[in-house]
Amino acid sequence: MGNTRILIVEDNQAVAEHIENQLKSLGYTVLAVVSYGEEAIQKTEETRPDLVLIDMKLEGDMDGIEVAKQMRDRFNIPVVYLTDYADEDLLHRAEITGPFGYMLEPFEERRLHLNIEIALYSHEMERKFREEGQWLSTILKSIGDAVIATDKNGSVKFMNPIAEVLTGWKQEEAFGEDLAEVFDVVTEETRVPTQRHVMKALGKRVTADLAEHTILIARNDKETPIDYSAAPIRDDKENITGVVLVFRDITERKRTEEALAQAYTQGRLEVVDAILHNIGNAINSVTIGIGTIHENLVNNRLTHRLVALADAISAHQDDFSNYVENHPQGQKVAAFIIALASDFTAQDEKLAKTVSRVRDRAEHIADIVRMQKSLGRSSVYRKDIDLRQTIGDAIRVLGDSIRKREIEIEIDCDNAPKELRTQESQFHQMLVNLIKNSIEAIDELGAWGGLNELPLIRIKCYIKLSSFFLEVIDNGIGIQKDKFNLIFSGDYTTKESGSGLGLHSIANFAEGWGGKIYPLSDGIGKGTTMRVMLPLSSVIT
Amino acid sequence: MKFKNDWNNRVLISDNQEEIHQDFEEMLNPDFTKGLTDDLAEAFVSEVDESFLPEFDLLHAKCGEETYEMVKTALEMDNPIAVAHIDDKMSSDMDGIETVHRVREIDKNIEIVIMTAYTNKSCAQIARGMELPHKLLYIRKPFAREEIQQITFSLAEKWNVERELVEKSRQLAISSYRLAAVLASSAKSGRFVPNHRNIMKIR
Repeated sequence: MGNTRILIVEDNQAVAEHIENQLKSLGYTVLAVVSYGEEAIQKTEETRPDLVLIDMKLEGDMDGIEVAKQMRDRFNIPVVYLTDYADEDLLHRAEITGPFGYMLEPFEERRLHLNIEIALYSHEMERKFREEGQWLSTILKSIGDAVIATDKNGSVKFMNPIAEVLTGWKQEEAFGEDLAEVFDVVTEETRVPTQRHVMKALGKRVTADLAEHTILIARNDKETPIDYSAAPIRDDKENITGVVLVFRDITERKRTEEALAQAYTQGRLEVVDAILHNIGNAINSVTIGIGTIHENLVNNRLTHRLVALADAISAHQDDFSNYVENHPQGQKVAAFIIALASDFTAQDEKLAKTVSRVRDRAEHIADIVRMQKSLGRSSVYRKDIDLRQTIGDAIRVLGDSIRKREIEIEIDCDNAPKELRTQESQFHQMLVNLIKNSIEAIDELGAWGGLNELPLIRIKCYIKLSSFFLEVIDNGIGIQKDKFNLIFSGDYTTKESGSGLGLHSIANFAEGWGGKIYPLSDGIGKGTTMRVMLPLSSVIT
Repeated sequence: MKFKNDWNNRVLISDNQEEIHQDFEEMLNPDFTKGLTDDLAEAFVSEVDESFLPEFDLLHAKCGEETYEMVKTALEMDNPIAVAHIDDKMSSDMDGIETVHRVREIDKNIEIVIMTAYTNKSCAQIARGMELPHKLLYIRKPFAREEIQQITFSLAEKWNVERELVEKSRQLAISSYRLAAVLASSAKSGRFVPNHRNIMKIR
């Protein structure tokens, strides 16, 4: 109380003196007693009192109420009015300038004390309240999502700067406008307006999570794909007093998704390409092999020779003994028969090899076709795998690379099932590719000259919201945010030697399982988290 | 049948798939009937029908790196390769197209055939930036036996004819240089007598 410094503004000397004495006996510090408004302002400027007692009816150019108003507006100092009678008009004017304390004569010590303390307390409360409001509004202004709040009629009462950017409305312009006017949204495909969903939040008293594929049309007709949700604002009695709308620009995310989808299609094409290449080669062999067999059958020189031999023998049937003994041709008959037997045997062996090759190739084609069918009905080939062991296997595959770089590996599967039911080879391949990608990212950081800590790769598996998550986190080169959507395209690589196809094929796997893969990184030099999200159904029976 | 005039019959097959190598062996050396009867046949068969194809000396490479090394070694040994069949897709570090580029860098004469199989790359895409595009041919798999035989035969012939042409041009240039020299010296002495010595010089 002794620290509370008070200024008295009172033109009646006797009253002023009386009050001063009482305040002093109450333990307050009286800074000064002044008689005129101008004087009061000047003293306040010099001494900054904690509270001012003001006679409502001052003489001079400024009356008490005018002085009080300045105390509040200029100095933010609480005021208690002193008055000798209740003038309704005056009290009304005083009220307009703010909630002040005021007291009528007689100014007893007890009432004086009470009034001063109430004024100080209210002022303190008001200050706290204002600070909190400012704090909240700062939060709303600085969060990354756009926020619009309305009253219970759906008139806009607040917009943060991001909401201003996305809608193209300034808060001042939008204030009091109907929400539907400012927040013009349609569904992406059918172009049906969807604001009414927002307004439902007003009636339904529940948070309405409003789905994707929504387009916000700004004031300048610029369209932005957004995600948004609306929630009712309730007062302490649970009455709905408005609605708060939170939305965000998902252009970047959509672009990533599209790049991913495209990579998937491209990947499919590559698979088809590879299959056709395989089948093409096999068919090639079959055609050539059959050509060879055909050529040797229809145009067989050995057969011609056999026929020639038979013709020669039949021409000498009558003197066969003489022919073989004395005729220069006949003398070669025996040798020719022996040679023919040998040549035919050799030819048969060669043809048998060709036939066997043709058969192998034909079976190979059949295998490829079977394999493609089985990929289509993948569940048939799923089997239980031990998660930790599979991760261990993948690390072992890259063991040399990891050891050479002295990379530390951390595995955290505490919140994941021990066993997964999945396509083993694909899952294994995905892990290997992810780890390989991290190793390359670490190499890149080294090449870039940013390797300041021990290289570390963390492999984390967990289940959250009915999805299985696999994260491979490295402290390597990282990815620029604006390159996120590029990394799956097959063209992107930070590596000078890499092809970028590793991630591309992981994306294919993940998509094939109904999941997703996305990168998280704070930028170049900041490391990367590659997060694969798979629906639980694809990894558990 | 031997290639005439003992011409270069060296053909390189470059593919990472074993069956392709077997296919080429079968296509380019297709005669399964060779054997003991060949020497005796003359006595019984009026005309001995020989294959129209010459014998090829086949070399096999499994990857781009090996292909490049073989071409390089052949050049160093002064025993160059006439025709190379190169697959456009090879799984190792150097793919078919890159292999073609590298081979062309060191050998400007070799006839190259790019084998493509159901690729989404067009021939124009492949040819873009290729040196000496007239010494480049594409064939799409699956190919016919006769196709490969004829192409290989004809390209090998072309390689050899071109080499002969170069050799003959060289000789011609030397001859004409000598002729010019003889004419110049005759002009100096005031008369030109085509005697035996002068003609020998020109040759």
